[in-house]
Parts: sequence; structure tokens; C-alpha cells
Amino acid sequence: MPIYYRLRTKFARGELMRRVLRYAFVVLFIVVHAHLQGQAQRGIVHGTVTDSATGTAIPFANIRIEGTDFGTACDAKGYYVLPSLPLGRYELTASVVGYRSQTKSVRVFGGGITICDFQLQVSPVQLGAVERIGERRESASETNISVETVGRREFELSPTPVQPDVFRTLMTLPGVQTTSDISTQFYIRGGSGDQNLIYLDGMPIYNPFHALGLFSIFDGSSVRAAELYKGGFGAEYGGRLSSVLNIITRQGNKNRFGGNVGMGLVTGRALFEGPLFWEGSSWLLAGRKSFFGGILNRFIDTRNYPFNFYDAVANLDIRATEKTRLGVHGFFTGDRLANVSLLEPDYEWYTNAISVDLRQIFLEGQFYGDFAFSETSFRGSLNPKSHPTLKPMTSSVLDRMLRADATYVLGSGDQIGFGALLHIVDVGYSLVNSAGISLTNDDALPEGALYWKYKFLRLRNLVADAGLRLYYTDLLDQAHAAFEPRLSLRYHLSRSFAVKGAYGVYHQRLITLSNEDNLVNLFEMWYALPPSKGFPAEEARHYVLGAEITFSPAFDVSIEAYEKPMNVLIGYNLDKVDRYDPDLIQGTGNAAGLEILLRYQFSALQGWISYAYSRVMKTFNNVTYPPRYDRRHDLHVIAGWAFAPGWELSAQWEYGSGLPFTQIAGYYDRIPLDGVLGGSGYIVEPGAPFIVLGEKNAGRLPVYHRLDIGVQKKVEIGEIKLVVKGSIINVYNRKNLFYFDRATGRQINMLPFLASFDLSAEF
Amino acid sequence: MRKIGSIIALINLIILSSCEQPFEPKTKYVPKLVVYSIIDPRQSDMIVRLSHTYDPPGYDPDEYRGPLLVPDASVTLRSSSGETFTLAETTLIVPDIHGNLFVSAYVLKQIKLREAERYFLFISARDYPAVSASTIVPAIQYITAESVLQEDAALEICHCYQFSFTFYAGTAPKGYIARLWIRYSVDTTSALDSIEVPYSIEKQGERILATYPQLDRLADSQEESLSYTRDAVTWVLEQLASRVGDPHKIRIKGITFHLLLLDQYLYNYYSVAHGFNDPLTVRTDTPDYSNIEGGLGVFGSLAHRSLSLKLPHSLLQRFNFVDDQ
Repeated sequence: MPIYYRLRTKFARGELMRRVLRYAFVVLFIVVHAHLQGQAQRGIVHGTVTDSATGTAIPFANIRIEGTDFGTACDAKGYYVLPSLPLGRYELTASVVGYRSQTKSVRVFGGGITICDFQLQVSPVQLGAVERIGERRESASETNISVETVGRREFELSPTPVQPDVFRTLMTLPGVQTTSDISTQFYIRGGSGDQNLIYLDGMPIYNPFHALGLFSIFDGSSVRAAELYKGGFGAEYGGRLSSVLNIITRQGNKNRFGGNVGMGLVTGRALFEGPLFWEGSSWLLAGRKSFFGGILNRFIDTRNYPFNFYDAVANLDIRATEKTRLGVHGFFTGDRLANVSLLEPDYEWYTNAISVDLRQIFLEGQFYGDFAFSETSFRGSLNPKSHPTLKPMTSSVLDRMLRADATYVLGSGDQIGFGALLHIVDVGYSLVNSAGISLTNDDALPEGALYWKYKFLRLRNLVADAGLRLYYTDLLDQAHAAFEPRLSLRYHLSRSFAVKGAYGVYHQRLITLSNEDNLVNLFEMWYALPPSKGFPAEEARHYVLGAEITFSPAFDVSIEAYEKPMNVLIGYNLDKVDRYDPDLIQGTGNAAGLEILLRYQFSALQGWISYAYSRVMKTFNNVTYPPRYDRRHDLHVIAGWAFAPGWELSAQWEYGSGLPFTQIAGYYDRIPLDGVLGGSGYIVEPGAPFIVLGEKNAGRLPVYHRLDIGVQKKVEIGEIKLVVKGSIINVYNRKNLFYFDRATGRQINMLPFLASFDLSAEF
Repeated sequence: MRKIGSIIALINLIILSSCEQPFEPKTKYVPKLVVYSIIDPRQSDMIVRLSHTYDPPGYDPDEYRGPLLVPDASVTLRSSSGETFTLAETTLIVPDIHGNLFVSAYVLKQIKLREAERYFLFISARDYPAVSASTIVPAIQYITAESVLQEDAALEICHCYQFSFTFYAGTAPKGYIARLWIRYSVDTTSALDSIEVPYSIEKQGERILATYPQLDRLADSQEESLSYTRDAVTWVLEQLASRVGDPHKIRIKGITFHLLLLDQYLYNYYSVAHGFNDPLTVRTDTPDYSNIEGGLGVFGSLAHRSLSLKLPHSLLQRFNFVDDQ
């Protein structure tokens, strides 16, 4: 019996899991013990990096020991640990985009703990200031492969229709694609839209798009930062084949009451924050609501959907003790598109999510853990009213997750991470199927995962992150286990040149179902693939190789090549004939590509250029075709120019080669042969028009390109900071095709020339 | 200033290069023949309905106002045993959405095609690529009534009708539908009518849920058996009594079992065109199916056989029906 199957059998019985756990604890005990023994001649420095004005944690700041190559990066909660430093005095510098760097002197005592917190001041955009956008996390402690971190500075630099948006900014990075201006559905490295795991403060989010996708459901003013793992992500993440997007919202101001109100072309928003009774604790409430939807509708060459949506964020950050922080998060969003016309369908979708997380620091600070519970509910519905072809449909997801993650920083600087996750997802849907019958179903998908990872940091030029994730599903029914090894490496050949690579295995059992022949799917239904239905988990492997060249602090290039064989994909069975044939079958896919990101700053001009080449193919029923998001070439040029104090001009040009679609090869009148079972009437049955489709996705839409420009002015009037932003989208009014209705021949273009504004006031 | 000039020049270049690229949703149109023909022993003539694909000026098929006739086509049927038949051209009255009243048909009159024989259809017509297709006509070996409703129900010898049938393996049919009909007339003057018997009925509170036979795929074995419950027969007689009002006017002529066997092509086409014939599918798409090489439509075949039986006299008496079997 092959070793894999032996392991799988043992795993299914729980033996292997117990054994792995036992060994993991023994190893952990030994290393902790050895570490504590050797700690006498060395000391630990740890602390948090916060905003000096608001007291809120700053995620992903870099900490560097001056005069050395040694450093680390803060985690999402702004916490860092520098373990086992030899006795002596050090100069530590904290830096992050958007803030002035701060250097502090610390003294490390033998066996002692030094707490060094940083309070960084916001840095306004300045003429000639060297402030790299999209700055990578500390390369001495992170492999930084296929990860992009963006914050408010990047949001500001991206001219976007109506208002800054997390997703719109991410889409300017290489390897992140969208199929249209008016969709924030995104595709990472040849993966479909459902292969992206999206967390908001640890809460899984489904269908994170507002009406027509012009906005993501995350209001830019309440988002602090976003990390996007495009591939080769670590063992702490799983359940999706392609990417992980980790969005972190702002904590409330811990020092004083404050707020931010703003309005754009179609929305108004407000954010209020302030300290709680307990020292170092805060609250934040933010909300956004659509209005004036009719204004935007005048500009958009598409269906006249009345916009009606809201989203709200509520955060509590409580400092319970010196070593304990409690976070409570809520996120609520809804969309209702009620058309006046009976021939136009109505759509509704809502997401409500809550989470509670606890950060606990153990020992002297080198061991810390996060414990979280979250519940996310999503429900959406399509009401076709009198639409001639659409049928009613609903989709719902209830996701409950309990997870624990811990990190132990060893004296050598190496880090051990481990954690466990329990996940129960209830997926429901109702639809009218191809046979014209109403169908309702509910499935439960219980999933569990254990992971262990080791980050090897002790060698000067090498960072290695190795991990194993044990994925377990359907524990009470037909248990299925999968092993997911993960490895990423980064090696500095010199101070300015690093090579990196990553490998990982990923599985997914929650997918969306959609008809690939549709050019646009506004409504996609979530569908679970539990083992009890006889489905294998979707599986992909990531192979990534890359290099980073830093020519100067203001100019660097990152190149990554990847291949992502998708050994198991689940999709429509193209050969289905009757009820004995499965609706869905197993297929395969492969994505490969090359990405280049060049970041620059020349005097007051800064920005980035990204280019991605990718090739995606899927095979189902021995038919190989490019999926509808197979964009071969994607180029983005972003520039920001601080031409005067408080002023900034930004521009973005993007180019995308044509997307695949299936062409029309003609029409014929198809006879259903309704009467063949009853007699001879079928001979004179009338036919109904039917479209003859050509080779699947063999056609290509025209290329896409668009230029956007924006100008921003920041003004301070007393305690109030005003930001006025004007944007022109599609400056040269390129008619990029969005949608073609095969039934009517109606062509709908993406955003035309559109001038918009956004005004916000922070107090 | 040089930088600003460069940027403006770049923008101009982009604008000049942004000429619209034509979008062509249609691939090059190649007309094809559309063929519908079923070898059906219930028909005395074999008919091939022939039309063609079309390409309207826009994207609305209703815009196509041209004819769909395919005149002067050569339509030939060959059997695997070497017989060749040439079908004669005619037209059928079938109004369509394009304003046409007629459709081309090619006919083989008074032909008795053999079961278990493979037939090849060849069609060539000017301006269209030639098409071909083949089918093996299914052959039913025998139908037996394994058990029937007994006269004396008290003995409880049988509570249902049970039938079984076999077919010749070489004909490889794929689907079947078996239906049981009670034949009757109202008074002596009215025409013969019939009412279908479901496989079974289930009482759900006040409602009765009847399960009627549907087109189904044959199992791998060469023999199939199926049954109709006694409750289902009784329920149908109750329905008949309540429908007509006066049971004394109802003359029961008997009960007939009809079996249709469909070859794989007809079965596949019918199933795909009817939502996979799958009430539980989660699919919402409408794919197409054809076995016509070089064209569209279907060339299939079916076999039909029936078996008539009597209903128990005592059962008819219970409903006050006239036993006219």
C-alpha cells in the first residue's frame, strides 16, 4: 500500500493526529526548556508599535536594529519580539509607510525583558521624502513571497471611481485580475473567484461586493491595512486554492474622541471612535450608506439598477491586562437592488459577521497566542419577477469558526507557530433547475485543521518558513483528511539581491456554482462538497520562484514566476445526459505566469508598475479551454506626484488583453420532441430558437485599457483635517466592453468618462 | 517642465492609440443542416424533417425572416443488411416564428423497418455540408405480466400488477417508459378513452401524491421489471368515478400496458432537452445534444409493444362500473 494511503488511513482513525500532536508537544517542551536555560546571558526586547495620535496598533511595521542586518516585523496587532539579544545597548528603529520612522535606544540586561514601545507620528506626503509605497515587511524575518501589503497610502494613490477601495487598489498589483471595471470580483493567478479566502478581522467573508461591484463592502476609511497572499501561503491558512486576503480594520482612538465623515458621488460615510473606560481601550463605529444612486446610473452604461446598500463596522479593543487584549468586531452589510421594471430582476444580499478574539502574551513575551471565535452569515437572493429567462434563486452560508494560533519565538530567533481551527459551514440554496423544478437543499460542511510551522531565522542570509497543515473534514460522517505541506524560502545573495521560492498544497471544499457560458454572473451560488456526496476536495499545488533586486531605497524590482497545477477541480459535467449522470465532475486545471513589480520614487514622483503574464486552462470532459478570466497580459502603471505642499496628483493606466468568451456560430429551431413518448404529434412540433455556440471560450473580447487621474488636496483647519479628492475615470473615454447579451445583442460597456469627487473631514 | 511634457506626450500617445477595436460576438457562420428523424414503429411512414441553421442580421433569432426549407436534398436510408431507400421530398405544415408555414420533409411511405437492425441516414443538399447519422432500432424480446390483480382480493394473492420485459442485447437501447392505461368509454356512444395508472400513490395528509412513470434509463441487465400498486389502480378508478359522476355510464374495456424502448441517441436528446430529465439537478444551464455528424438535431429510434389485460370483475362491481372487457 502506498505510504500516502497508509498515512491517510491512520489519519482517518485519528492515530496519526494524536501522534503528531504528541511529538509536537515534546519538541515544543524541549526547545522551550533549552531556550530558557540559555536565556541567562541574553535578553528579550518586545513591544508594540502604535499611532502616536490615536494609540491604535500599527500592523506590519518593521523593526530594525541599527548597524546590523537584524530585525523583525510586527504582526497584525502591532506586536513584535526581538529574542535573545546579546547584552548591550541597541538603537531600534520602527518604520512603516505613512509614518515618520522612530529610533529608540534600549538596553538589554542578562535574562531580562526590555519593553520598547513605539508611538509613530503620521507622515504627510512630502516633496522629496523617500517613502516607499507598498513597502514589504522586514525581509530579515519574512520570506515575503507572493505577499502584497497595502495600506491607506496605497489607497490614496489609486484613482478609483467614487471613492478609495481596498479591492481596487489590490487589483493594480501583478497577478490580481478583474474582468471588468464594475466588478470587484477578483482572480488571483488563474484561480476562480471562489478560490480566494477573505478575512476581515479574522471573520470569513463571502461575496464581498456591493451593487454592480463598483465598491467592495469594505469602506476604505475604516480599513487599516490589507495583506494579500497570492500563492505559497503558510500553514496557518487553508480552505482555498488560490489566495488569502487578510483585511484589518482600524482600532478606535485610545486617546480622545474623534471621527471622520465624508461623502462621494453616491455614498455618505461616518466614522466615530474614542477611548473606553479602561486605559488603552477603545471603540470604533463606522458606517456607509448609498444615496443619489440615480446620479451614477446616468453615467453607467448598464442596467438601471437603483443602488441601495449599507455597510457598518463596529470594533471594541479592550486592554484587559498588560499581557491580555480582547477584541470584539462586528461587520454588517446589505444590498437591495429593487428595479421598478417588472422585466428587470431584483437582487438582495446581506452579510452579518461578529468575532471575538483574545491576544494573550505568555512567559516573558516571546510566546503569544490568539484565540478567536467568529460567526458569519451570508444570504443572497435573486427575484426574476417577469424576466423571460432568469429563475428565482437563493444562496446562504452560515460559517462558525473557532481557532487558536500561537507563536513561540526561540532564543535563536527562530519561531514556532502552531494552531488549531474548527470550522462548521452550513450552506443552503434554492433554485429552479434546468428541468424547471424548484429545489431547496442544505448541506453542512464541518472542517477541522491543525497546523504547525517553523520559521528558520538564525542564519543571516536565509529565511525559511516550513509548515504542515492537517486538514480534516466531515468528522462525524465520512471523514476525509488531507496533508498540506508548505515551504517558503528566501535567500539574500547580497544586501540588494534576494532569491525566493515557495511550495504548498491546498484543498478546498466550498465552491460557487455558475454557468461558464454566461459572460457575466451577478449571482453565484455557494455549494459545499462534503465527502458524503462522493466529491474529492479540490486540490492545487503552488510552485513559486522569484527574485528581488533593490537598486536603491527608492527603486526596486520584484519578479515572480509560478505554476499552479490544479489536480482536482469540480465543475459542470459537460456530458451529463440524465439523472444518473452527476451534475458536477472532477476536472483539472493549470495556471502559470510571470509577474514583475517595479516600485520607484524620483523626487516627488512615486508609484509602481506591475506587469503579469498568465495562462490558465481547465479541462472537463476531455475539453480543454481557457476560463473566462484568462487574461494573458495585464499592465498597470501607477504614479503619484506631490507637486506642492498638501497637493498630490495621481494617475493610473491599465491595460489588459482580451478575455475569452464563446462565440455564436448560428441559430437553429430546436424541437423538444415533447410528444415522442405519447404518440406521433412530435412530427409537426414547432421548434424554438436555440443558439449554436462555437468552440468553448475560443473567442477573445477586445483589449481593455483605461487612464484615470486624480488630484488630492489635504488641508488642516484647526483640529480638522480635510481631504478633497477629485478623479476622472477613463480620461479618454475608451469603450471597454463589459457585457454582451446573446439573446438581444445588447452590448454594455464599462465605465465611460466619469468625473467624481470625494470629500472627507477628520477630527 | 520636461517631465510634464513627457507625461502629456505619453497621454496623447495613449489617446491616439485608443481607437476602438471591433467586437465580433459571432464566429464565421457556416450553414448546417438540422435533421429530425425517428424510426418509430407506431408510424406507418418514416419522416425526416429537414431544415437548416440561420444567421439573423442581429442577435434576435426572430429577426430571421427567410425560409428554412431544404429542397432537392438527397436523403438516403441504408440498412446494415444492405437495403437502400431513397426518401421522397414533401412538406409539412409547421408554422414558425420566422413567418414560414412549411418545413421540408422527406418521406418513406408504408415502410416497415426492422427491429435490431442498424440504419444509416445520409443527407446531402446544395449549399450545406453533407450529414450522416446512424441508429440501431431497439428490439423488445417479450413482455410478461408476472402478476395481475386477482378476482378475489380477500385471498391477497396479489396486490399489484407486476410486469417484466427483456430486450435483445445487441440493440443496446438506453431508455424506456412503461405506462399502464385503463381503457373505458362513457355510455355506448362515446369514443374510447383511457386514464393512466400511476406506479403508486402516497397519502400526505389530505393530499394524494401519485408517482407516474417517467422516461428512465435501463439498468445494465437485459431484463427490467416494474410494478403498479393495487392502491394506485383503485385510486384511478375512484378518480374516474368522480370525474364522470354516474358510474353506471362507465364501460370498462380493460387495462393495457405500453412499453417504449428508446435508443441511446433519442434518449440522450430527449433527456438533455428536458432539463436532463432530472428533477434534482442543481444545474440551471440549457446545453444541446446531437448525433448528426456535421449537422444538428437527432436521428433516433424506438420500439413499442403493448399487453392488454382484464380488470377483476369484482373490482368494477365495487365501483358500479359496467364490465365491458
